[in-house]
Amino acid sequence: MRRPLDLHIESTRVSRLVRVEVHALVIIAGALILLLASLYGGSEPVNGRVPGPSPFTALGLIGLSLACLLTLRGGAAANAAAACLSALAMVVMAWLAVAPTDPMTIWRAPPPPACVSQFAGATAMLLIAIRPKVSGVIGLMAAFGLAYPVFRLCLLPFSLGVSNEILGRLQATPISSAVLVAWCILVCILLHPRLPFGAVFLESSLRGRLLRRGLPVVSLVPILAAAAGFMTPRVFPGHGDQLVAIAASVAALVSAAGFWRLARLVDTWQSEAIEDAARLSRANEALQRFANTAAHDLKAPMRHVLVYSELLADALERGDVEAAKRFSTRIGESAVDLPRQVTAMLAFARSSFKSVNRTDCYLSELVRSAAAMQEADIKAASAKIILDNDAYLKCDSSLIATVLQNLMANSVKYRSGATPVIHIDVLREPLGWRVSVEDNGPGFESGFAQIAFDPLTRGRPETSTGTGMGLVTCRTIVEAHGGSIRIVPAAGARVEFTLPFELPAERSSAPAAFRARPPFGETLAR
Amino acid sequence: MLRSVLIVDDNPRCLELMSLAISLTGLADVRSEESAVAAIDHVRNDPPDLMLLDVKMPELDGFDVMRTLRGEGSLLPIVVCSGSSLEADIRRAYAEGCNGYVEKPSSLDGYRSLATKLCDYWGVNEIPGQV
Repeated sequence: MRRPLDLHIESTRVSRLVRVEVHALVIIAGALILLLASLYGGSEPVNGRVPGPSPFTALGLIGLSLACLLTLRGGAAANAAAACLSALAMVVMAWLAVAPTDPMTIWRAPPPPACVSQFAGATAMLLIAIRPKVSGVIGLMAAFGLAYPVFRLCLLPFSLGVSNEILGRLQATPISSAVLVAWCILVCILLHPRLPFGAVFLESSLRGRLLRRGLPVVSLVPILAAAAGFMTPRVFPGHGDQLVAIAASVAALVSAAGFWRLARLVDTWQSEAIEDAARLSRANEALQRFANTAAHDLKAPMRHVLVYSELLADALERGDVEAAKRFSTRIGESAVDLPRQVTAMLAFARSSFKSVNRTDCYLSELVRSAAAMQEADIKAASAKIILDNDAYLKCDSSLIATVLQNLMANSVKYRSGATPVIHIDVLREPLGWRVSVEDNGPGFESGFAQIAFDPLTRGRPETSTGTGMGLVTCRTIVEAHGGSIRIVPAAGARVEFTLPFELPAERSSAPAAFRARPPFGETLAR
Repeated sequence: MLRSVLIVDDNPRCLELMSLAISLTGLADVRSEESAVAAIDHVRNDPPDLMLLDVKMPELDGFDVMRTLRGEGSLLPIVVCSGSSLEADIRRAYAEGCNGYVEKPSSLDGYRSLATKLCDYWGVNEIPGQV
């Protein structure tokens, strides 16, 4: 089984700009700016509200992004280094969150909620480095870490101009720090290729490609928001910074959600396109089979008629009446084949190219109409048709009747000395119906089951008047219904086919509606 | 020298026409088999000098016959005589070890000239080669 990391390594074709590494590097650059700002920006509150960013936050972000880069690099040493960095970040953040004395006297610390966020992020990164299998725990830790920065951004509209001790404490982290922390946890942890969520971004589907292309665009918005949030109070004193940051953050969230939705839509469209292509390819195969079969089956009798008629002319010229009689008989025999072949080919063509139009119908009705189509042969052979169970099916009634007709025709055609008795039964299975047709004839020869459904295959060529198209027509119809058909070892000839409750193209998740099976006697009496 | 030919085809009329055409060239020993299994047995017990083999047959087909015989080390010259002129079939036939591939003729002259060509070719070359 391929690990998500391998997937990531395989995605080297992906443009460098859209890889997680690049985001980690951008976050490191942003954190370095934060670090410089915290060191040289002064500690006085701006507009009496927000203190500047903390150097610890910036260092924590750099540590997490570096750990992310190391885990992406892979290998035991890089993993160990990433684990050490994460563990160090955990220890520092835990100490800052619970420190009894105010470390601001030494070096301004981030407020406790931001420390908890980064602690959760560092824990998730440690788990990614040492045990990525626990993706559920990692996801929970990341979500926990995301909660405060996101809350900080969402809180902004309610805190404008409000002076409150609790709000003041909650909004103690600058917007620039909150956005970068949120972005680091989102990209470096949640989208990490070792996690299943990140693997979606690296898959080669249209969804993966769209997300990869879209991610840098979306990522620019919060980075710009962070810059705006950081710069505006210095350039325009007042609440402009908050409004700019809110607008940018909301835009980022909306565009991210939009991208995600679009990616899901694209995924659906791609699946549909793939299904359409598969259907087209099946139709093409059927066409190819049809063309080959038509060429072979129609050419042979034509060829024989032509050659025997030349032989007949020769014989007549020589005055050889016996030979002439023989050749004219052969011409008749060859010509007899033609209409039968053409009829079989037309039936096959109809079944191959007709789209499946499913309606609700009873199996007994289908058996009745199939028997009516085959009436002459059934009467001539005094064959008995016994329907062991009835069911209310959802299928193309004319096509499935053709399947039953072909199977009945085979039973009559390849009968042994005894009167043909054909049992038709149906069984409801978890995914669909299984219909079986079994007779008391000699059965299929060994080895025939593998080739029975190929064109031109005749069960018993020495006795057969078959065209070799019956079973292949059945297969085409059953496959168009999304089912399969096979020969089952039994005393006589037994063919089973399945009819799934839903066509492959139907994507509805609703269970197929079925009416209760009516009593057998009642359905026959209808 | 070509003394005996085995014709393998599941269609009795094809068999008759081909036998007739080859008999007309003066070759006395023309044998026929209607199934692949019988043809393999025939070659094992009494190998002919040349085999004319149809491809599309029920159960085992002509490709199976060639695979079996070539697998057993048989050097019997085999000419595939098929109704199909698809390139894929021709390639596959050569891959399975046939010495020649001809499409079934659709006229009496076609049958005659095919029979004559076959007899001429294998009549002068005792070592099997490509047609």
